[in-house]
This record gives sequence, C-alpha cells and structure tokens, in this order.
Amino acid sequence: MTCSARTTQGIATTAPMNRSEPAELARRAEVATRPLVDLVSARAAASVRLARRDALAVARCPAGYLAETEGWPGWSPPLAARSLARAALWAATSASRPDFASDDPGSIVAMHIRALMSQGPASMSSVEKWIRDPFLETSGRQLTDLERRAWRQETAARASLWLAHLFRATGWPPDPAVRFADIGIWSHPRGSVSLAATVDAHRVDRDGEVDELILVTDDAPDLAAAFEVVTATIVGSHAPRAVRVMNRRTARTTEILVDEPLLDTGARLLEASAELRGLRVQGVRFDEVAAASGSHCRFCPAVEICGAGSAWYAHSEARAGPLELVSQSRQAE
Amino acid sequence: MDLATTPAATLAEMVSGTAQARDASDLVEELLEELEVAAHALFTRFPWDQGSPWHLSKTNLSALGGCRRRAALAPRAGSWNRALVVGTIADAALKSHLFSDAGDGHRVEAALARLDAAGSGGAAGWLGSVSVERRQRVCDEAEAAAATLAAFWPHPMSERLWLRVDEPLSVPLLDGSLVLAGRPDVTLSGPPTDAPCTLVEVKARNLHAQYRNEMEFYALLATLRDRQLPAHLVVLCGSGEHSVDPVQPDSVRAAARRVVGALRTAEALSVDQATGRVLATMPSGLCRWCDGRFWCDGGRVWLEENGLALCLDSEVDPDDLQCTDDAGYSDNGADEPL
Repeated sequence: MTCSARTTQGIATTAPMNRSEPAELARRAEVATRPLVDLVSARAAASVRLARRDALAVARCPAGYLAETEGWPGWSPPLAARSLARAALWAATSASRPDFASDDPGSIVAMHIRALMSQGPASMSSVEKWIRDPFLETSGRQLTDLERRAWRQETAARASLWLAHLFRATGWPPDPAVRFADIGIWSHPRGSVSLAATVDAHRVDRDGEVDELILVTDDAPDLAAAFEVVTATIVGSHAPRAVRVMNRRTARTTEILVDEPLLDTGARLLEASAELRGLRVQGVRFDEVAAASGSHCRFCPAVEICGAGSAWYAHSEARAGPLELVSQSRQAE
Repeated sequence: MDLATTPAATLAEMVSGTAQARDASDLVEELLEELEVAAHALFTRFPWDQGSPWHLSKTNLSALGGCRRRAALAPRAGSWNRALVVGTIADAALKSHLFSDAGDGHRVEAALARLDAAGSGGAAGWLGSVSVERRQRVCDEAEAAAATLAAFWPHPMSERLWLRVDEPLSVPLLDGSLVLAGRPDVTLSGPPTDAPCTLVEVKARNLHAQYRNEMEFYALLATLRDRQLPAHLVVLCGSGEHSVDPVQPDSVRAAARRVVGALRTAEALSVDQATGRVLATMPSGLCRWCDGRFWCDGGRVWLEENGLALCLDSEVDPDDLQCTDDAGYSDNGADEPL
C-alpha cells in the first residue's frame, strides 16, 4: 500500500495526490452494498451497519469474520469506555459548557457521570443509560449496588484513559477547529444497509469542511485510515486532506495524507466487507472461505477448530527461537 | 517528608502543580541509539519472527538481571498465590478508591467487584479454592493494605491531577520487533498538559530496593515516549512505607543501561541454551518461588542452608515462610498482560 509512511518521532507524512470524486466513491459504495440490501430485504433480517471494525476484521481474516457471533454483545466496561468518553466530550463541548477547555482533562468523565446520576434517563443515549444503571446485558441479570459502582468505576477509568490518548492527538486544550461530534452515517438509497464513519475527532478548515480525521487506534492504522477517509468522504461529500492516527501504546502520531491509493484501498475494503457481511447474513460457515492466519488467531473464536489457525499455533511454537526462553511461555529445561 | 504521618492531601500537593516540564530530546536520541544497537546485536544473532513483537517488561528485565536458570523458566500463566492475590486486591481497591465518589468501606468486596468488572476473576477464583480460615486471613491482609494505600490519597480525588490508571507505556525498537513495555498503576498529569507526569506504583507489602529499578524503567519509557522527563516516581506500600523520587537524567540513563545489560544477558542465555550449556545459577530468596526449586541443586542447597527447606515441598505456600535475604521480596511471578 503506497500510503504508508515510515514513522520516526512525532509525525510522518506522505506526498499528497489528487482526490477522488466523492460521487464516485458513493457510487462504488452503493454498488458494493446493493447485494447486501437485497439479502437483508429477502430474509427480513435486521438492518446492517458497516463500520471500520468490519473492514479491519475482513482484512485480517475472512474466516475469522464469519466465525464471529452476529449481534450486539451488550455493554461492558471495555465496550462502553470509548462511547462514554465521547458522550462526556460531547456534553463538555456542547453549548451548555463552552468553557470546557479551561477544565482539567481529568474532570470531563467524572463530571459527566455525576451529571448522569442526577438526571432522569429520558434524554440519555444507550451507553449513558447503561452507565447510570449498569446491568449484564448478556444475561439480563441486575447487578448489586456494589457491582454497579464497580462497573461504573471501571468504565470511567477506561474512558479517562481513552480521552488521554485522544488529547495526545488533538492537543490540550484542543484548538477551536477540532470537533468531537460524529461525522455521520450514509444509508443505501433503498435502506437496510448503512455505513458509519467512526472517527474519534476531526478538524475543520476555515470553510467548515472536514480537513483532517483523527483516529485513536492500535489496529492497522493504514487500513483504518483508508476505510474512515472513504466513509467520511461519502458521508460528507468532501474528501478530507489527511488522517491523523494516534497509537495508544506508543503515543506516536502518524499523519497520513489522503491520496488516490488511500481512497482506493478504503473503497476496496468497503467492497470486501460488504461482500463478506453478505455471506454472514446467508449463514456461510467460517470454514467455507479461506482463512488468513497470523497473530490475530489468538483472539479468534474458531481457533481450536480452524485448520489454518491451529497450524499457525503449531508453527509458532515450533519456530519459537531462543528468545522465547525469556518471553511469556513456559519452557521446561 | 514522611507521607505516612502527614495529611493525605500532601501526596497530591507534592507531586503535582509545582514541577516544570524538562525537555529531554537530546537524552532520548542518545538512549535510543544505545538501545537500538543492543537490540540489533541480539536480533541479528537470534532473529525474532513471531508475527508479534517481543515485549521486554519489568518482569523480564528483573529476571534477566538475576539467576539465568530462573530467567529461562518463564512464569506460569494463571498461577496464583497468596502474595499475588493480596497484591491484586489491594491494587484494585486503591483504583476503586480513586474513582469513587463515595466514602470507603468494604474495600475487599469493592476490589473483587472491580476485578470482576474488568474481566479478571483469578483472585476471586483463588479465594474460592482455599479454606475459609485462609481466605479470611488473606482478605484481612488485603483490607489492611488497601486501607493504608487509600490513606495516601486525598478523597475525593482532585481532578487537577488528571489521573489515569494502568496507562500503557510502550516504546518500539527496531521498527517494532522489540517493544519495551510497562503499565504503571497510576499516572498523574503529563503531556499534552504543561505539567510533567508522575508515575505511581502500588505495592501491597513492604518497600524494597528493587522497586527503584522498576520505577526507573517506567521513567525511561515515559521519557522516550514524551521526550521530556517525568517529575516524580512514587512507590506506595501497604505497609505504610513509601518513596517519592524526583527523576534525574542519570536515573533514566541507569535504566537504559539495565535494559542494554538485559539484552546482552538474553543473548548470552540464548547461546547457553542453544549450545546445551548448563545455565548459571544465582541462588537467593527468589528461589522460594522459582519453578525450578524442586530439581535445581543450587536452589535446593540455598533453601536448605537458609532454613527454607519446606519450600521444596510442593504442598507448602512459599509466602507462608519468612526469609531474611535481601532479594527475598515478594515475587508476583508475572506482570498483568500488557
């Protein structure tokens, strides 16, 4: 992929190129998702929303993607952290709190949770309602008071950490051009299938157009940037200039300029994820498509019954070099 | 200043607000070059092609600085013992305290609920597997440690501290083949704010000299990441002991030298292993927890000579035995996954 750039310290860039027409990208999205729309309609299945997570899972391993359980797993501290952090940011930057940049970044999540606890749930988002009264969605079990506090604290801690990563990318206090609101969703003209831009923040230019997308992710930054820039372009009918990606572990920021190859990569990812999601809707099993093994096999629900995954594990153990001695696995002398 | 006898707010006042950010760009360039050279030498000899980086954590670093035979026996995943359970509960209790609006009480229960929320059921599982009396003793020990640790902190927490828990600190070397990785228990302030960060580690038991090395490793990681020096390194202990050390360039350099030393030791260890050479032993109080103690002659002799032969009985919990050796600090065996 030509958009990747070597990151030294700080920011790495690539040379800019001409941008694709947003209308052409929207056409590709419409064509790519049309079979999925037909499938969902024919089967009266639940509507489908494609997002970065789908695209990256498809890029890692099509078989692994099909092995995933369809449906919403329910809120939990790891899943709710980003949503809570973004809700807190949204509340802090809304008209009621225009002075939020004078706050300490550590206060944003805590203040929002305090506000949630003192309000009725009527106008709250799904994650806010869950934070106010967490329960185990998988079983529907109500939690004790002690457990509810613990789940709230754990989510708050993770949300605060997530905000710390975001502010490393945006700077603190963020300049007025940085926006934390969602960019939006594109829906197929016939409904049933939509495409969500899930960027964490964006920067607008003097005309108010999206100039730069900001992502906080450790996962395939080039592919994440490619997918998000395509969705943002389709949603906003305007191609951003660049994508800034913050790696949470290293705190390194990479700026990827938007160019034709990046947009094409993103469009191909979108097409591949729409196609594979269609297979999932049809109930195609994971072992009916090719598997791509690698370190992601560690987290795959099908690893124990997947030939490629099992082989990767066996090979991984066989080729464990002498350094494995001082690494994580146990070694008998 | 003895924090244990001063108002709790003193800790926050000491470690925040007054320190100024100190640029360390030159130091970072110097240290990165040193570390890359050492890593390159190791990886040239033993290419690493696991598809994921080799993580060098404080646990690996500590292991490589001691007995080579022990270093070759990586800790068994999921192996819980009393010390680890007490430490895990005390750690979770403090983190629960830091994010709580309510007062304290039921610290152990709150900590176990917090661990459950985080998807970590190992401590609860261990407690469920031991006798009622033993469980009560462990919970009492954890409760006392948690209460002492909580007393170090003002409550409610000042939001001016910009507090984060378990913030990952990773520095990739050799284009990511080797990652120096850590996760301090608590991080206060730091970029992008104007205030430099302070790193805090929580220990359930006594203060030990070894902790300074661990904290300096964290300081090295934070310096390489932020290109500025952290302000302070703080260790808080369930015993009531503590240390608060301002970070100096020399302490960061010392940590880098230890990493270079560990990489060289890893290289030597790999050569020993590859050629079938008997790995050099360095018996100490750590033999109590070493998985090799049941067959390692050096370890067995040391334990017998120091009145710890009971450790050679697999039914005996080494944590129940006293040890006066300086290296015999409580050994958790493994970091939390990074």
